[in-house]
Amino acid sequence: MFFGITVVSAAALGWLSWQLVLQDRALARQRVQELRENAAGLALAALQKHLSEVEERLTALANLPEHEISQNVSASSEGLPADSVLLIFHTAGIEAYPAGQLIYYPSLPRLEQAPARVFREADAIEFRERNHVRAITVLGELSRSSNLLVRGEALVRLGRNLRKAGRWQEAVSAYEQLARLGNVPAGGIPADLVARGALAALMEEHGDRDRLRREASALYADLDSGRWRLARPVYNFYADQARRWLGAAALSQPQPGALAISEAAQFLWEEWQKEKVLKGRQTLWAADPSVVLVARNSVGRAVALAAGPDYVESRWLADVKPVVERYGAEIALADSEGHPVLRSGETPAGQHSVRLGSATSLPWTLYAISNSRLAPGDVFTVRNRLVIAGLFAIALLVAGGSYLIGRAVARELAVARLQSDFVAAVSHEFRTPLTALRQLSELLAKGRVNSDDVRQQYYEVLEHESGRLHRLVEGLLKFGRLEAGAMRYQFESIDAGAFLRSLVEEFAREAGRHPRARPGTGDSARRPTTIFQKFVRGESAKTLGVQGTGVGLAVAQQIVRRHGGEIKLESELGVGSTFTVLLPTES
Amino acid sequence: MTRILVVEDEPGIALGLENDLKLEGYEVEVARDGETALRRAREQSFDLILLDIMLPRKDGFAVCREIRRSGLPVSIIVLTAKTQEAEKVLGLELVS
Repeated sequence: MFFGITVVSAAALGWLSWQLVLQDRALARQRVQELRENAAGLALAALQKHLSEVEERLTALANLPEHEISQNVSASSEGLPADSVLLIFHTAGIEAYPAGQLIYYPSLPRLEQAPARVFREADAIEFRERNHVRAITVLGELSRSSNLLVRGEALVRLGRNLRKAGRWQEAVSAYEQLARLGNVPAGGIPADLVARGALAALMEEHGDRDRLRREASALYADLDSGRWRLARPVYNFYADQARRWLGAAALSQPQPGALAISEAAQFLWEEWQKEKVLKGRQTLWAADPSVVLVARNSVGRAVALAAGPDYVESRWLADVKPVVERYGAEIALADSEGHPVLRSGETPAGQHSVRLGSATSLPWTLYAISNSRLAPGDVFTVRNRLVIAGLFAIALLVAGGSYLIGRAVARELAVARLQSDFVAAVSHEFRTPLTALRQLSELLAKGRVNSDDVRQQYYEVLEHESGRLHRLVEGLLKFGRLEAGAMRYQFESIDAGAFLRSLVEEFAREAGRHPRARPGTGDSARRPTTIFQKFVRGESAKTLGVQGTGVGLAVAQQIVRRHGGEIKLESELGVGSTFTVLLPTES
Repeated sequence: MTRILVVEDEPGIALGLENDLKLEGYEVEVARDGETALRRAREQSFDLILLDIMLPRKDGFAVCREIRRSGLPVSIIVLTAKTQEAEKVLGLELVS
């Protein structure tokens, strides 16, 4: 029962400690959540603030007088990250700043071309007569024209004819000449673009792999850097060519940001054409990544910012980033269709806070995600481990203590039981001879004896029983003295031979008193160690009514030990017992 | 002649009982243990059995029970040196 109580208490302690740990964990999680919510709030505020600021700036720009607007927008566009661009929309067309940020334009100013009749003759010679030599002559003249438009288009044709005629070197030089014309349009496309494209094609045809690669790389790089104002189909044509020449493996796509904002410009231009006003805040997913579009309208014009993730991160979230990090969170943005703007905007696993665009009037859904560093995931932090270990140690102590107590109590009970048995045995051992003494002495005193034989018998019994009583009392007193530690031993050395002789004499005398050998009880065999303990008499002692108090062997063992010796017992059931007494000799 | 069977293992006590009863003119036999007592009781007819409880091997109560169960028409007086109440009562119960 005692053990049961301890088990229950230990279990209760264990449960309590587990509850504490769980509570701890819940609190930690709560705290993480609070911090994350704060982070979300901060990021939200920052985005809203910056967005408003941008809108103000765009409004100011949109309302500038005509002659100032381009300049100012250009100035404002200084330092914009590569994935963002400022756009001015006029009725006539579109401007983009910084220059070169877009890789193609939705609308281009009408470009002049050389009058068609100038080349009618040359074209006829080239295509109808197939007389390239003559065409070359004609075109050679035209290529020296002072009119750059004419010169450009002439060089294009010249190069082509030279190529067809197999005059490679001359073709190359024609194209090189063309390239030197720079931005002059040749057939609506910048001359140097045409030239370099043609050169590369020439190299391909000619088999000059090295030069081909060089030209193609340079072409592609320039396309990417927005060097020319091109329409989308022209860009795509040359870009695809370049990719083909370079081999897809050697190439990466153009900067994703540039593609996205070019598509954004396209999209806004179409909206501008249709509505003549632009929407204030929206996002566009035409190419990865998603782009945010902020626009402000004025009379006959609009100014817009198209910005990618780098812009958002570096311009709008940079100042709150350290605080957000300290709160153990990361910010992710996703547009209304779920496309990621910052990080992976998909609904993150684990704990996150959400701010919907519909509530915040931002064009995104904002997520704040707790990063694992602060997450309380692990229940077994060092502190919790210590607590659990401590409580476990306590439980162990309690269990151990209760076990020891239980054992001690059981032992005490056993001793008490033995002692009460002893008392019972002693009482009986006293009463038996006393009964005989009283009975016989009464009979003698009353003269109830009718023969001398009988009288003699009575006297002998009286002698015997009183002797028995005497021995019993002496034995108990000796035992009492032993127990109290008051026994005084007189140690003397004796001759071993003499000792043994006197021992045998004593043994013979005792044996004579009990002439009949009785069969053993087997107790020695069954309890060879405990039988030496005081009060232990053997189970059969009671049933058989064997005389004795159970202290004899205990006394013997004590005495022998005090003399520096030992008693050993070897016993076999049904065979017999051998008690061996070892005493030290003087040597 | 009244025949009495004294069942007592202590020789001192048995001696006193035997002689005194003989003095009174009874025929007395002594049995030293329960088994002997039962055997003798069945072999011979006794008028009275003086039965000590504290006997080796088979104790007095068992002897008493068996004698009663065997249906022998003999009176039993139980002797005991033990003064515990329970045993006194038990003694009376058995005998009746």
